[in-house]
Amino acid sequence: MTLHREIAAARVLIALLAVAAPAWAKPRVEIAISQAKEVFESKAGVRTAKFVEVQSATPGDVVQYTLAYTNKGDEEATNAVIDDPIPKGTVFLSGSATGEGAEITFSSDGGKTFAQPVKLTYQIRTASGEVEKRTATPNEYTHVRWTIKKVPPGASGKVSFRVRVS
Amino acid sequence: MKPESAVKRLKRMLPGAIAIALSAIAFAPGSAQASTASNTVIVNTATVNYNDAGNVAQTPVTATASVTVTLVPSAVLLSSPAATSTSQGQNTILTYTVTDTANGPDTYNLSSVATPTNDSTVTPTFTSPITLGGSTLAAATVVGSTTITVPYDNVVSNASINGLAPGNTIVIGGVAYLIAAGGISKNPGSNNATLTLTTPISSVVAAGQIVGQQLTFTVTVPSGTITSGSSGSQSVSTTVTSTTAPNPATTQGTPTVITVNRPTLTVAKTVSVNNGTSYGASANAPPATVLIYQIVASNTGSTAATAVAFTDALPPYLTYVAASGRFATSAATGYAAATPLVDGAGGYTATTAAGVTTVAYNPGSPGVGTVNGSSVLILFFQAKIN
Repeated sequence: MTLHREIAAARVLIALLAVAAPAWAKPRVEIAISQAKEVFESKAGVRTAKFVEVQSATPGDVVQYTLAYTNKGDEEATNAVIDDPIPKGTVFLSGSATGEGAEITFSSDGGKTFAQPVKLTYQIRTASGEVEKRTATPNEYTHVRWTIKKVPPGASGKVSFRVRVS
Repeated sequence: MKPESAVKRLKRMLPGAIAIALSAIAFAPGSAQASTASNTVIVNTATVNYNDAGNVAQTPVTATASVTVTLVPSAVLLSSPAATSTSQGQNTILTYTVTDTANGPDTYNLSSVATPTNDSTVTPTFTSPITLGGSTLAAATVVGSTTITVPYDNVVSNASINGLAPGNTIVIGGVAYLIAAGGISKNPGSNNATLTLTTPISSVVAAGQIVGQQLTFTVTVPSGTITSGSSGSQSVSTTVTSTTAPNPATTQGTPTVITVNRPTLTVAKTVSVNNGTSYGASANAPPATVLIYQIVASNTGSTAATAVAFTDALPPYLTYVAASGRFATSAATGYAAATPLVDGAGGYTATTAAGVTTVAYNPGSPGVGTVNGSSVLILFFQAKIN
């Protein structure tokens, strides 16, 4: 009797494991940020700009943040949304956001809402009390968002944007 | 960030006029010169939200990258001390006010040159280098408030922030304030610090503007020795140079001219043979005539001559008239109105040695022995022709 009960319990356990097994297949997205500063060098009278990785910057410097993502899982990741607030002390540079295969949207309200640049508007109340709608300029952006529909297992990609240190 | 369903997000991102209500002030673009204080750590944190193939939200992942803001050296603001005058032999101490305009603390070397006119070359002295703290406003100032917000400098101690300490004078938007005792409170979590001032903010200054330390330093300038005449000058020009490349420097806008004066004493001796009615360089008189000698010490300079002393050895054939000494401090005063001197008192003596009588008057300073600029001291005494 006792033996039978234990065998029965083991069977249940095996059955449970067998059911749970397919759920082990999971997407596992990882992300890393690298930061590089724009530096200029003159070679044979030609001034060229290049980006070098840095830990420090002076006000006025242009810093490029590159976000590298990888799906290290064994299942496709869907609707991957990368959110990056524009760091305090920096200003987003117009048109600098890149991301192949990603939909890029911006927020100018601290990440509450995101839209494509042309649709990014806000309202202000003028001195006369009228409400006026304005289009947010890039230096007013607070967040950048990249939306990637599908990241297959093992796939990786890069998105980037640039800011000026204020 | 909380995972949210793709449907929800899709709804939110639906095309159309998405009006975002914003406070115009809070998101007003910063001014062109705005800067972030050195030692500020700018942290960029990215978050990835994603779903699995079955559209089930997965645990978000994040990554961060940090940039530390470095110093941008900047030329200080430097005052030009007002022109002044001194006496030869006296040092002049010039006090300068210097104000930081950089986004962080920096060390500055001083240099000072004095260009002489009708004066000898001198070397000004000062204590160098000096250090000035500096930061920037993390938020615009609020009129009437006694606190300001600056970026966190990545140092935990509240003793100082970016070289600014309680008791320091700081300049914000051209107005000087004092950091109160214990007036530094750092909030690493918010990446900023609150500075408490002893007086309320008097004007609105935008975020990113400099919070610069102001202090005074002195330069000591020797008078030099006047080449000729009674005055010369030293034109002093002081420069404050950042020790951080490219070493921006500020030289005082207007050199400080120090006029150096010295006393110039001339002496004239005349004699009267008519009991003081008239005096001349020479005269004729018969034996037994009582002569009055007048010795005028004139200071033609503009600064006082001190310890003026007379010595007059009587020539042969003359006998000093006892208790005849008198002095005056005005050229208009004659013998009759002059102040009597007592032999052997008040620095006045008439002594005879080896047959020669010497009259001496050394009244000393401070007192009669000090002859101001454009003033005189006159000694009278009588002697009888043997």
